[in-house]
Amino acid sequence: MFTSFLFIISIVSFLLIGELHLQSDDIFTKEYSQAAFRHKAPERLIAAHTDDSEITEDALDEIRKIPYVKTADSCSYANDINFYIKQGKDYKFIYGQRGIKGFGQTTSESEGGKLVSFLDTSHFMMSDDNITEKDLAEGNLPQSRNEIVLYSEDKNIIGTIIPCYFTAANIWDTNEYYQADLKISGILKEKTEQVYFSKEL
Amino acid sequence: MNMLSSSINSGEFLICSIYSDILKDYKQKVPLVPVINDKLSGNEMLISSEVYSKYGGNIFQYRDYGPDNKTKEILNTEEVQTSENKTNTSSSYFLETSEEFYYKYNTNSSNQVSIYISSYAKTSQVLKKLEKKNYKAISTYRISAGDYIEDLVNERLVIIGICVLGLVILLAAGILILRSLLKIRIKDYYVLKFIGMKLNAIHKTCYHETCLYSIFAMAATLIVMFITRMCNIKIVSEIIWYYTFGAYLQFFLYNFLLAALSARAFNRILKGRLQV
Repeated sequence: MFTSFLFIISIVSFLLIGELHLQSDDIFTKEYSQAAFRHKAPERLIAAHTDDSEITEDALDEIRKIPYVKTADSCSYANDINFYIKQGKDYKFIYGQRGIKGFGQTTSESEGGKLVSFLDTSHFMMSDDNITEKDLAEGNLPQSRNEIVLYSEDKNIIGTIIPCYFTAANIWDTNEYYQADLKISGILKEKTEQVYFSKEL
Repeated sequence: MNMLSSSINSGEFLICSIYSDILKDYKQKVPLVPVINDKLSGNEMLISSEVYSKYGGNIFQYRDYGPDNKTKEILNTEEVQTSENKTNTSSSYFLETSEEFYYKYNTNSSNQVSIYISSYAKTSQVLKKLEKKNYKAISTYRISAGDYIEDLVNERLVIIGICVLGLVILLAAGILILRSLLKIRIKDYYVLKFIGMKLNAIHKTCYHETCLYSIFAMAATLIVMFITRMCNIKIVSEIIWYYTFGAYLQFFLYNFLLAALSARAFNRILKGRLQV
């Protein structure tokens, strides 16, 4: 009983001391500005060589070996570009409302004045630098510019071409968006909403 | 360089029209975002209907920082074949070029890398390692953090207050309860005294025993916490990321202090009883 009580005290003190250390940094009480980095990710760092030289594969490998580093992506700027791949969830079309423009709503003459409206701005581009063949359940890593890797329970979607929209409010103008037809080249093992794009895109 | 983000660190792609002899320059210059269209070749370009009707021209200019690296200037001018993109699915300000043309002005290299670490708690540690390896590095979250949000500041202060108060109350209550629990074993110490053990030695035995039990409890706590972390219980794993050497030291000292003060409180009772 004596040891059990000590054990309870030990657990509670562990959590309280840990919480004090967690609260010692006041960063999470500050407002995040998306002006420079749209992707609000506390775990994200940006690095460059002191002489601004090119980031090579060897440099990426060197960085990945640093303790606590999970992944390194040489397409750093693209990590602030939003992508919208699931119609109805990430984006939707609005018909018959020509002339009404807001963020992510632009008329397209060729599509009979339909508006594309972006719904979920929480997804950001990541390149295939972040994954290896081991992360794939089926298929291949992107081989060309318009190939992607994503998670799906349906393995038959490999080879399917799907439209994907992109916005980059701090790179292009706020209302600009780019659309590309992308081919699914591989399926990820781990269930995630992250899509991995070719570095060329 | 990544195509969609190329406009950040490359020059500007301008489509020019209406040449002015007085200005000796084009009156209309519209900067567009270049993207590759695999169906195009050579100097062929597609421009959205909206831009084409307003600024359509057949002169392309590339503007970037000159040799002084301070001011932007026109580095190249060439005639191109622009056409109206009638099946455009992107917004207006994209300029579709051939791959060949695109790579005349852009490269596929990158001079910056995004690094994702296991937890924000390890930011400073990773930044130091990167600096040692001759990288200049920043945390995007720290750089983008602005003014304090009052509600969150108050919430943080309340949490700190609760934790400090919790530790003080736990220490006081712990000493009282542990002392009471030790009293249950008071007869064992009577026996030790009866067989001739000195009071000083009995006190030391009590200290050692309590500290030993405390070590067992702390070891069990660490095992439980690491199992909980492996089970991905968010609250615990977040806290463990913040456990540095200093935090572990504080945890051990707190528990040793509690054990020692409890043993001392019990020894006082024991002293009074055994001297009677």
